[in-house]
Amino acid sequence: MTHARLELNDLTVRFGGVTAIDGVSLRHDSGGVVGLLGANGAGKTTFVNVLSGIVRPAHGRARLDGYELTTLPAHRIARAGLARTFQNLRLFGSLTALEHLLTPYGARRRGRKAALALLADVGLTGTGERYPGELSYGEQRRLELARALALEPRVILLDEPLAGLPGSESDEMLDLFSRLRDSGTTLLLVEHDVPSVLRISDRVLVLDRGRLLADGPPAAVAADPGVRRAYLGDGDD
Amino acid sequence: MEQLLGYVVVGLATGSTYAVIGLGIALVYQVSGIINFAQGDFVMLGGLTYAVAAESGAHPVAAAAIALTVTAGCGAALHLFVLSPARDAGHDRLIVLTIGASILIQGLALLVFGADQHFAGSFGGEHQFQAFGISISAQYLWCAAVAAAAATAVWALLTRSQSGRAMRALAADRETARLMGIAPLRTGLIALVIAAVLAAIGGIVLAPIQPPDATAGVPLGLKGFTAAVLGGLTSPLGAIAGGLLVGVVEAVVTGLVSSGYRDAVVYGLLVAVLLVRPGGLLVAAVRERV
Amino acid sequence: MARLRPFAGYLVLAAGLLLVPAVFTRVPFYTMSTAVLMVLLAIGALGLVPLTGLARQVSIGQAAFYGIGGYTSALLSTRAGLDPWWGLLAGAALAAAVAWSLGTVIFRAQGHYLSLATLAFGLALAAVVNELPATGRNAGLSGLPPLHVFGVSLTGDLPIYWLGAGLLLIGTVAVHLLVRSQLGSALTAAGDSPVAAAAAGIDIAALRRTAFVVSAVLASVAGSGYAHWFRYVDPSMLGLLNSVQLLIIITVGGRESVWGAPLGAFTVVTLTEVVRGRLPGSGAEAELTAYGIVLVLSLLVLPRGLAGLPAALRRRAGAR
Ligand SMILES: Nc1ncnc2c1ncn2[C@@H]1O[C@H](COP(=O)(O)OP(=O)(O)O)[C@@H](O)[C@H]1O
Ligand SMILES: [Mg+2]
Repeated sequence: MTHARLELNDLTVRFGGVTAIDGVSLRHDSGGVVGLLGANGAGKTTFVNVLSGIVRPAHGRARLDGYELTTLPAHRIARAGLARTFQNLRLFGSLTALEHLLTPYGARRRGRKAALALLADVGLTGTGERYPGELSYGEQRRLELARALALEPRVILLDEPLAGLPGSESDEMLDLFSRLRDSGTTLLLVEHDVPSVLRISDRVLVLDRGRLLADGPPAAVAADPGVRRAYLGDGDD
Repeated sequence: MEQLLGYVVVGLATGSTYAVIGLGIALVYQVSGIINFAQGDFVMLGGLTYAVAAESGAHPVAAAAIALTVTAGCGAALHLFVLSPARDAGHDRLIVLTIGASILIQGLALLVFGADQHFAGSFGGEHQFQAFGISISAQYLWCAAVAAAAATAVWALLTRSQSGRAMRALAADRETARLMGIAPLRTGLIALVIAAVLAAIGGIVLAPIQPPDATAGVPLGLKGFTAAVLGGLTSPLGAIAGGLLVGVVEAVVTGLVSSGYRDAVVYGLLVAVLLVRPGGLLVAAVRERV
Repeated sequence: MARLRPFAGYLVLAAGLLLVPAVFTRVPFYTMSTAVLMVLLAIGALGLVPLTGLARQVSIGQAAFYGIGGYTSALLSTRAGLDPWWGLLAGAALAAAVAWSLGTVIFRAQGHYLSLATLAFGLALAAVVNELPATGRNAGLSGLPPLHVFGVSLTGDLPIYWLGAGLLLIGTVAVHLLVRSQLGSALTAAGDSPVAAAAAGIDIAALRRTAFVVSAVLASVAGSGYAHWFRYVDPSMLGLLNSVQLLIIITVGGRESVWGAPLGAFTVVTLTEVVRGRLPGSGAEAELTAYGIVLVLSLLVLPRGLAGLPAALRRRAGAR
């Protein structure tokens, strides 16, 4: 199975006077986990938003397997195989957990059994009839991940999926990510927790005020003096 | 041709009042994210209270003060007793709540003032002047002057005062503004009171030209909406330009075609703008998409 | 058990509708014409369940579709001499086409434009109908023939009531099936979080448009029914108050459930009768004030409306 091919060319996003993403270019077609690091306000969420079609770039391009992400509407991007989660959870308050997994495009066709299996995969067996308000925070995070997976995406963008989770749940999530990677899905993992990212990623990107400050294997990025000075060293968090 | 210029002058003058009404709509939308369907009823309430007070012999300045106070109080009450308790509600519920407030104000105005039109004299007596081949009431000059003063005052408030800065901060980025310690509810209250005052000002200066009754709010509110939407709902300057445009279109259609189609044309203009450029004709289009 | 519930609901609704004539002709201030009004308004309000209840899109212009139904029926039956049923169908088709076109453009943009656009569209159409010679200006059109079923023409309140009750039952089942379908959960998802729904591959613009078309068709059917019942239409059909009334009905009754439409129609029409008949000096003023108070209160106190009352009570009991 070939991996998803992502190509970004001079991607730039502005909000009024703020340049949230500043001329980012990169290519990725080798699958695995791509870690995205950066201080608060570095532009990580905006990066996820622009790829998933929630925000339009000022200029530049982004493509996924030949689909133009910068012009397609968000739902078409999702159908093209790009799924995402949200930093601030966005669940459907009036739908049950199982309905969450039947709602994404194509999920109904795959049926109830597949949805139940997915629920089990993320460790939510038995919660199918519950509403998000009746789930713990960690369960809600996992439900959101499962909803993204119900699209059967080729690429999944995870915006700080470990934030606020206790250590044990965080480890379970990381386990889940490894299994996803092994199944051929490309993961973009936005995280604050630097050690976790360095441990699990195959490639690490560092954003600094919208610019791509570093890009390479985890060890090389961790050793980069520029990164240490701008981000890792200054004890953000 | 010369007459056309006259209609444009009249249109700009009435349009300036639509501009301040629309300014109030845009301000509330910016600060609280609420489309306030009761704005037109504030216009009605201001104009009607003014006309009734003036009819019963109050000095125009006293009548205006009463009208402004009543309307401002009504705006504060709307915020405190209706919108604040529902602050966690979605936009849809907030919209329906302001519609409820709108018909409630209308019903109460009918109960208190009756269904009749009320008449107030022009400010400083009836004067007409001739321009571009038509005779124009001096009240139109009052409209333009008062509206310009009100818009300037709002501008000064937004740029010079602490609450003005809080409003602009909330409009620009709600989350960050909250983190900076700006209280959205209190600031929203101030915005709604300002909007009510702007509406009342519009109602008062229009009262001598269009004698108000308790149902006058809907068409006037719609004109304010058209003004605000023409300006993109988010831009105060856009709302002002939009109001002037609405006034001119309305006056020209009335003058050249017939007054029967006047409202249809203004409402049609709003539909057209929403269909063609929902982000507003006069500002750049919305950035976020889904 | 859960699967049987809708059938229980249909049975209760059908039984209620069957009992209405017996009850309404015996108690004071309820008459068969209030009953006809209730079922017609319930049909019109039903369409707001998917649109406003699930997709959270507010329309303040349903009276435009009510008017489109009424005027299409009036024009086709009086000017073209067509059978009233064709007028009803043609009105529904025209309303659907108008809503589809309007929805295509309006829902392209994110935001709360539907409320503004429907308000302006409704008022513009009302102003045009008020001016056009073809629609009889402000005098309207009169002399409509009655509807007929199996060769029996439906004149008088009781026969029209039975027809309206039948249509209401059919409409309720249809909208209920829609709400419980995949489309229904997609609409709910889009209402809960449009951004997350889009990220899950749901085309929310098309979805909202579908709900808007459904609401337009139901409003139009109610308008046609009204026109052939009154045998007369005039521009007040398109008045803002009619749009607001449908919104009040579905809000008070409960906009997330199909049972909200009949419950709300019953409550609001009853309220109107009480206010009109009982309060001194009653007229539009008392009615408007009462509507305003009921609308605001129900949103603040009972956001899910009367249909949500049992669940709210259960939750409260469970919390103890
Ligand atoms: N919708 C928006 N409107 C205005 N500014 C925004 C918006 N989204 C993000 N920003 C700004 O863009 C910058 C990057 O933000 P974000 O992408 O959220 O960073 P991160 O996720 O790395 O913390 C910040 O300065 C933020 O204030
Ligand atoms: Mg972020």
